[in-house]
Amino acid sequence: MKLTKTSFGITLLISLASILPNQSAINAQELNLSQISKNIKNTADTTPANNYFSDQMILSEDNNINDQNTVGAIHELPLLTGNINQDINVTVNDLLAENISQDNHDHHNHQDHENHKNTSEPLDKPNQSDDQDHHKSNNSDEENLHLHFHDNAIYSFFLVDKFEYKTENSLHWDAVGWIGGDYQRLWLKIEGGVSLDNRAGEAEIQVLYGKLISPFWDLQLGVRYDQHYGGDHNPGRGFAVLGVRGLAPYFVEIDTALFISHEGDISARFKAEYQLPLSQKLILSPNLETNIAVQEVEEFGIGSGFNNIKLGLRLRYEISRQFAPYIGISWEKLFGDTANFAEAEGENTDHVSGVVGLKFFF
Amino acid sequence: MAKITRRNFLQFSTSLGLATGFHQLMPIATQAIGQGKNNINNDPNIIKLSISKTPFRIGKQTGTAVTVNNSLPAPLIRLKEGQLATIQVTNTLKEDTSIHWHGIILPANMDGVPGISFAGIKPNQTFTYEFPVNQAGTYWYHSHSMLQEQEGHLGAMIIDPITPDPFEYDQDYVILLSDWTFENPHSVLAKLKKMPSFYKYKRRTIAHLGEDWAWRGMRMDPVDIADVTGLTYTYLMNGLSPEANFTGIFQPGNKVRLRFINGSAMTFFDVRIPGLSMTVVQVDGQNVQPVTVDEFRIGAAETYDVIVEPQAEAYTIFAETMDRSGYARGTLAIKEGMTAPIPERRKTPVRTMVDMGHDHGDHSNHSQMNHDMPAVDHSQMNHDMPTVDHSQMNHDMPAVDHSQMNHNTTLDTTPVMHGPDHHGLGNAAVPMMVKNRLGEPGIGLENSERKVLVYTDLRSLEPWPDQRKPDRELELHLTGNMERYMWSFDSKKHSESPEIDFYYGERLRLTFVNDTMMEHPIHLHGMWMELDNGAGANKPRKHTLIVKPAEKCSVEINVDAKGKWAFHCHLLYHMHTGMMRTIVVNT
Repeated sequence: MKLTKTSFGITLLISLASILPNQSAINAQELNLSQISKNIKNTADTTPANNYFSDQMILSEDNNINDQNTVGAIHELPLLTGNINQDINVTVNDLLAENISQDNHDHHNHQDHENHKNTSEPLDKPNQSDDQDHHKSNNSDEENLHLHFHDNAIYSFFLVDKFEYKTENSLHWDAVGWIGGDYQRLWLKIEGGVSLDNRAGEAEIQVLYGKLISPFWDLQLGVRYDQHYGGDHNPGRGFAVLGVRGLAPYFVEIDTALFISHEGDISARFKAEYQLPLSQKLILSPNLETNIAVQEVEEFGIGSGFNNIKLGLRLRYEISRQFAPYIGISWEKLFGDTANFAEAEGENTDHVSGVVGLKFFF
Repeated sequence: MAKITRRNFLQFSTSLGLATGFHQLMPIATQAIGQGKNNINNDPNIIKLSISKTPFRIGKQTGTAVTVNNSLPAPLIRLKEGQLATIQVTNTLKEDTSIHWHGIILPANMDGVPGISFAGIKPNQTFTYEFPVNQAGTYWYHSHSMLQEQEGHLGAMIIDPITPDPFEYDQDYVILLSDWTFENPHSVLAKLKKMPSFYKYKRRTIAHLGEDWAWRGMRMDPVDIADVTGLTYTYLMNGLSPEANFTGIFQPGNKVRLRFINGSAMTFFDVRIPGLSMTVVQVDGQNVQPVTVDEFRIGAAETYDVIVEPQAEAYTIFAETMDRSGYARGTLAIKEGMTAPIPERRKTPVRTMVDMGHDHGDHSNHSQMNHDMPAVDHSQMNHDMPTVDHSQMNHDMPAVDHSQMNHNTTLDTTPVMHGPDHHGLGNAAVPMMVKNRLGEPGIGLENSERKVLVYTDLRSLEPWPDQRKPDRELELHLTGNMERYMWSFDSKKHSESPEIDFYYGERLRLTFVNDTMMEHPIHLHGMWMELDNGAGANKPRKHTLIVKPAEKCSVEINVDAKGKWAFHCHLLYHMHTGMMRTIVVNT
């Protein structure tokens, strides 16, 4: 871009016009151009002898400071200068009410103290409570400042930890979500499965109130509802839940709970999971689950004592932190009467399946 | 290409600054002009700023930035010591905005923090800042509303002194470092709340399981360096990406002043210019006794002014992030279009046991140390962690080279036990031992073959007039719970413990104890913090101080500014999730 005096003048004119408070289209007559250019010259003249600026500033063709395509665009940032105005407007003086002592000035001046002779009288530090007139020219409601805290905002999270096909020809899912603040959250846990052979399955849903009781542990209280479906007999039952969820040493993720059904049957569950990155994107995740019941509940195929143990090993590839397909294996073994009930239904009591699925969160 | 001489530089750059925004200019909405002021519309002494949303492009990607006068970074504001600054700010956004003048001593109602200094600048409103300028140096300004600072609302401010600077230079450049993400910052914060390690660069794999065992036992991650990293950030120098390559032209034989400002939201940069040593002359706008170094760490909101004397044709100005996940880069060259090699990237550093608070002092004393520590009953502490088996820990630390240490201090670096107070839910753990680490360069810069600046190198040029001993001491713990991405002081977020009282006229000793595993740049508005780094009467003044993990250090403050002042960690997402207080200075 070649700069001639005319094009420079026009650029100056147009750009100054656009920045000044001016609701209508560019109108050169509304600008006090001569005053402005005089001001700029004054500033140049008062620039101290030791040169603060580069003697030469070379511009590239494209002057768009926000366009990154041009290498080495603007070298010096755009400049705005307030001039020293020895002739302070009287109304401004009135607004700056309070005097502070010379001693206090010393605390703020990084140089030594003789410099104060250069400052005009009214440049004393005002006291905010005396600044009534000043307030009027700006916001009128400054006396009643309301501080909005941003640190107790509500956030939410929903993780589909497992959404998979098992080689025993079934689908399974396990998801958890929460909404709330830092100390108290509402939790939702859903888990279930369906056989692709006979469309029978079971699903459970838990809705819990969680409260942080120590830096790594959440106490959770709520309800759970189980529903069987697809079979000849589809029972459902509800529970009260008291559980603890958190992070144990060595980064073991724990979720454990005590359940009391609406019939008074007591049971408990323990889940643990671990994340082991093999590389930045490939993560191996072993997990364990076990269920215990105090009373036998034949309708649901639950025996007294240890019901089952599930072990899983899943390997996921994180396409992004939020989305990871995985493969793995899953082993479940049933015990005692739970095993007997299962056998009577023609189900497996000790089986390994391959799994393939997706893990994602939002 | 056109050449501009110094004489018409100001005329040209002023128009240039405005012209650059011209073709992206959005109409300034109807504004409420300040009442009760004469000449405000046509007064050339008023600086007029307009906040708006502007498209911002890096390479092929375009995002939306919150800009001042349509430029990112915001225009350079240059004031003169002794003047009255009048800055008129118009908000054309749909949300409130504000501008805080970082490091500037001014009346509390001009400090620009919504809810503390003033009500904020509502959409379509104009607010006029007015304050006397009684200091000189390099400073900066930025929004204090929501996460606008992350969206680009930041710029440099230079105040020219009345008496000339006590050092010589021929040329002058601002080097404003920042971090830019194309993501919406609220979405970045939401991700941190869902998964605090979301942006972690180079997480530890099975290859390190053995070394990391002790860390894992404490539920700590040895590569917990930066919360938001190069995985989402592009690091900018004066608004330009490394590819766009900001270039500062110098004339051979000249001394060049580089005013480094860290205007980033979440980033610590390690700055060096390969082949060129830098003489640090000002820190946070304040003169210091010159110290020549090869590299320095600059935390969010700090400023460092250095003088360099380039001899070769081109140098790379290299600002690598502390976690080594990216860098900002520019060039210092004798003419346009030149580049110098970009130095080899360093590996992500790993936290040491000292960061964890397990430094028990000089290693020669290990045999004399009683690890059972009978004076403190650990069984009564709620450590939430298994007994630490010291025999399994890797205590091998490289030999400390005393010859490079600045020993002219009376700084006590003996580790002390952290007290029994765990502070509560907002604090994941406490370090067992804390100590003063002002003489250490920081993680990733230990044992460098280069000379790295440390805080104990800083001595103010002249002793400050007020050398009183402190009247009282206040200890504040920097705390956090990474699992919930909560950050706080004394385990309480700002909303849980809003105010701290300082008494007007006192000299207060403020002691920081960092219970977390991360560095925090702590910033006090309105008053200077004099860093107790062993320099005695020449304590350097800071407006922002990096406190290292497991560090205990102190500053002294002359409480001479009435009103309410913000005090917070300058890592934006830490401040926003609770690491903030309102300091109330009453008579």
